[in-house]
Amino acid sequence: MPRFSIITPVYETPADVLRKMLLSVRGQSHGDWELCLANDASKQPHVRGILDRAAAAEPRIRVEHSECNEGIVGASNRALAMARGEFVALLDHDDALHPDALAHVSEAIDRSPETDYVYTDEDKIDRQGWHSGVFFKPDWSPERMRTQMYTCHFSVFRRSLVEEVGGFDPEFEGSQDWDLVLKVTERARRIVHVPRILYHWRMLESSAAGGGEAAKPYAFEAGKRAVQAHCDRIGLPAEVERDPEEPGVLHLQPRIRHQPLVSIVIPTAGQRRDVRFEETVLVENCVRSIVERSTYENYEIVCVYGEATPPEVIDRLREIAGKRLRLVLYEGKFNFSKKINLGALNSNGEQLLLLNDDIEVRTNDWIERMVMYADLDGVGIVGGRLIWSDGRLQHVGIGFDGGLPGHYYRGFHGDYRGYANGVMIARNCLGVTAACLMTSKQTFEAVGGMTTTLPINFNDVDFCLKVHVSGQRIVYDPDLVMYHFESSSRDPEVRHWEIEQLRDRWGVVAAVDPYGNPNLRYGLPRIPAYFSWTKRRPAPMWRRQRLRLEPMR
Amino acid sequence: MSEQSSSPTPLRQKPQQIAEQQDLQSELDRSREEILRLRDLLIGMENELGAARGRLAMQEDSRSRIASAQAQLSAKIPGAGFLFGLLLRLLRGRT
Repeated sequence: MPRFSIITPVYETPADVLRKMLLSVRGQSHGDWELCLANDASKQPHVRGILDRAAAAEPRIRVEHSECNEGIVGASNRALAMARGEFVALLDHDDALHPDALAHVSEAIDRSPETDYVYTDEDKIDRQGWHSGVFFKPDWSPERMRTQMYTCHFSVFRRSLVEEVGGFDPEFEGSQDWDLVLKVTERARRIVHVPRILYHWRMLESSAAGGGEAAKPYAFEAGKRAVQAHCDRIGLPAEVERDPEEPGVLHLQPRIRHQPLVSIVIPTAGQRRDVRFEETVLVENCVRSIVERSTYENYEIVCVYGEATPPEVIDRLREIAGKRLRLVLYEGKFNFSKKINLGALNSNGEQLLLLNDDIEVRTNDWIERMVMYADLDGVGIVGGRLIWSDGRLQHVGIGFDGGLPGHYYRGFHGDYRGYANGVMIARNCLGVTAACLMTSKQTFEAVGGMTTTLPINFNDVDFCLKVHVSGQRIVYDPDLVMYHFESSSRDPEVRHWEIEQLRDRWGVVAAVDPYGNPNLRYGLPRIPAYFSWTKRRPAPMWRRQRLRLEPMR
Repeated sequence: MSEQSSSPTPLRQKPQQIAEQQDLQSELDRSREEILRLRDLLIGMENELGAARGRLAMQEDSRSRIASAQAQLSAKIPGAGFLFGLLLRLLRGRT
């Protein structure tokens, strides 16, 4: 079992919450810990008194008082220098730990000894002790970490790695923890998520949990700079921007340096339907929107058309797309997978962009966005946000529950931001729809393309899972928005045999969605999950007696 | 020859016909504008309807989650589902 050094910078903490913080550490069911407290020259006399008394009563608590105020980074580094444990855990001076926090983290590390970073779920707690704002997190999601500091509390790092990256960086004062997580995870061998609420973040006027941007406006700017520095380090060609409404959310704008050839594969039957109250040939509308709106230059359009496609539609496509167009005739019964495979076979691009003919481009730099992610090491598939013509959400990634796929927030209001801003942030998921996805030709061929025994439904889910098990990530980009006039080209009904085939093929893999959470169902909390913070083992009576701290004199 | 000279050439139209055609053309233009205006109106209404349907979908989702929790609770503790429902109705009454 590892030893934990809990590092806590302390500054002007109200007496009651400081005592509660100390009590929560002393009440840990896992006993091998030390608490390293760095008092950052607090002016209020009770702070020194409480800390000294706690240290005198408990040998595992060590305190250092500073004469001058160094700020959160300076104080955190001082506390870090006091640490002797194999792992360092970050605890803020006004927050509280669940009694089994260290025990669960220790169990996780014991299960996989190469773990370098552990984080847990968290909630918020007010001064009176009422819990709210439960944050159930996914397993490690690098793309999410670049647009939201989601791991936050409770974070436990291997101390040697924290020292290797230079500890807390004063350049990112206020978001030093975000910077540290990014630096550590760039080098970590294994990152583990414990899906339990083991940290209670206290909402005070002075804390980011309670006061938001007004409490620490500099912290959000520092967060943006930390992510920008991370992107520069890993070679992600992006410029980081802050969300205009949500201070903790960032957006990545592509700044790609080269444009690989992208083959946009569009299967079509040349169908017509009403789009915005006007009869439209879908594929013409789709190709026109690509040609007129895309800012990317190096692409070709591979149209895989069926025998029933009217010749005048083919002629008009030639007029719209000109030399970029490549036409491939598909003969035989409708099979989406076969059409896509045929299109891929007839394409020259380094990247394949699978697109339904009932899509209309809305984001001009959509291809740049996809290339930005697709070029990144470890990324296998990129998808975006699809909306219906009336503005409702159609697709923001595919999740799994009980081994079956489902769309997050399908049919929800277009302005809905999602649980924990899930619609607005880039993140990883187990699948994205093939109505609009990019994958490299190499990956497409390596996994054997689309499975032809799934001709209508689930072929995209199946493809994504093949890529997932090959060890590559699937990315949802919220800033890539497209219109999807869905299911106008096929029967939307899902057959029983399709579900059974999917279960047979992926039942084991999809049983647990790593980008979900046991307390979430398709991105939203299950009702009993709101009470999950109550699941705690009470400390034995003798121990509760011992934990009582002296009242302040 | 005489037939040819007496027959009207297709390019030469009477001023009355030209005026009628212009009227028709402007009527057609007005109709087109009106269709576009009505279409824009429809698109706007479709978006409004979409927003309402989106909110309804969100409420439907919440309702089904609560119903599922209520059913789970009832299965574990007989009568608890009824009390849970009662509590919800009370809360709804307050809000």
